[in-house]
Amino acid sequence: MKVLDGQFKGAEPGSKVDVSGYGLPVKADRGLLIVFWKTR
Amino acid sequence: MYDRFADDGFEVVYVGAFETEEACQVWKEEYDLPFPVVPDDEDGTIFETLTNGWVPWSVLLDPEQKVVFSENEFSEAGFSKAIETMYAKPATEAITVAPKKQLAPPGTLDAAKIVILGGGTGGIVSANYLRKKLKKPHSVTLINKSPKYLYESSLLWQVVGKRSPGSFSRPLEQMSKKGIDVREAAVERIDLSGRVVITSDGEVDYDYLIIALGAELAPEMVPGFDEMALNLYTPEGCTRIHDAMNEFEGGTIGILITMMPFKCPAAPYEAAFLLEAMCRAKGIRNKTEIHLFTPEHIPMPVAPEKLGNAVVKMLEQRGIKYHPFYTFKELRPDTKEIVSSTKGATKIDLLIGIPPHQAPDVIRSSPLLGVSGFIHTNRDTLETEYPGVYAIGDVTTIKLANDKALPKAGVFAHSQAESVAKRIAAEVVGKTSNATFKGKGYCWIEMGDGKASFAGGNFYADPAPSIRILPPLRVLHWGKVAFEKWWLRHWF
Repeated sequence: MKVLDGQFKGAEPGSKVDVSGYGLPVKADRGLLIVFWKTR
Repeated sequence: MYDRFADDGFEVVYVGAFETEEACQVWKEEYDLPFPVVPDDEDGTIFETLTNGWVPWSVLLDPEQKVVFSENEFSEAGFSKAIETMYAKPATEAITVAPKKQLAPPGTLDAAKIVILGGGTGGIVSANYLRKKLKKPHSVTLINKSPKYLYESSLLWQVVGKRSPGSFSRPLEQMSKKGIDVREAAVERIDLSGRVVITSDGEVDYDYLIIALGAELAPEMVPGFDEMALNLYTPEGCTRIHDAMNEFEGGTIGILITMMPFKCPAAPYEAAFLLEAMCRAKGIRNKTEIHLFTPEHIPMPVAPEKLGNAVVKMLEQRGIKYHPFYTFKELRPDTKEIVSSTKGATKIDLLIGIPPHQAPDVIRSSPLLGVSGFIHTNRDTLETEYPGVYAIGDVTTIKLANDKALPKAGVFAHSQAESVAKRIAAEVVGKTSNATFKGKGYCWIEMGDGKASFAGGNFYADPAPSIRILPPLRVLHWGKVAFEKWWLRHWF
């Protein structure tokens, strides 16, 4: 389901992301899968 | 999947888009997730940065935080392969392995071997075009595990008794009189380096390969499916639905889409319309409830919302109860209930099921498998990363401008087969072809009462597919009938 209006491309494969500023309670230095969800 | 890679340090986090801490805790407990489930900040910063605005969305980062994939649909096979590749140990010395056999330069093969895997729509169309364009000694070989071609579009008519079983299939062997070498065998492995297909009946060399193996039905992924559901996607299942409807005297009919993706986006909705018409004809409509359960947010979600909304309106007009966003959890054959993880159990007297779909095993265990769980190709030429190896139809995933996947439908396999055949035929004789797949497609939507609707347009339009729908008309239904007759005559 679409949560955000507007055109977003998302993370492009091959691009680098720095998740250190996101405050996620996981390490990102051994491989990380981030799954986004929302209730209806 | 998480268990497989946990020892490598693999981590998973679920991020709720615009969700509270409390909602995250409920979600974690409801799904019994062993990973952290956390909310994004109130501005949705992470969500906006990493996704295209849709949920669910998955992003895999490698140990250097480089994006491996960023996907809308979930595929355990495809995701596992990507994660596996991420953790693959590098070679201790630099070894360059050249393919055992290379594709010959264009125009240099005196007797090119073109092999087509799969005897569905893509397979028969490409075989016919290639045989017409390339004379012997160039060979065209089609390999299929079943001796028959099935025109699947007519399965719905079998449900309503307008087609007898077997009347819309043809023996593939009939194509041999056109000079196509038809072989009945299961494909066990594709040796991409040696350019050999290993089958249950021996090895077959190829110069050019067209993979048209389709999407396999996998009802075994849903415990209780064979026991409780009638499979809408097989001839045997459709016979059972027809027989069950003959006996049905009223109650609750449920049409359940268990998982995405599935082929022919309109089919479950057509089934709903046709069964509703059957109930009226039997005089049991006022004693029958018809429900359609789907994980989609709207019918045919790849198309513009106005098309989906038009179908929702048609469902409402016919009194068919529509349950989008249905998070299917399990079947309970003992109590004849379907169970959702968010909406509890619903008792269904007559359950018509659309089983999970997956790429055939030979592809799932092949380097060709993409993160989507199907083969990814060049969207215009349909060529894979392996020279001279093409994939067409339901076995592929093609991303559209709106980041959704091109639907799995025969019309696309047909068109892709034509353009791939033209490209290969030209290359074999040393010419070039501009033939490409343009993303155009259409389908009829059977409504019952002798009428059909029709939708079609350009799925490659940017920023989103441009599709129009026509209202239900008798002439459109007859157009579908005429197309079936032409199709079964033309290719065989």
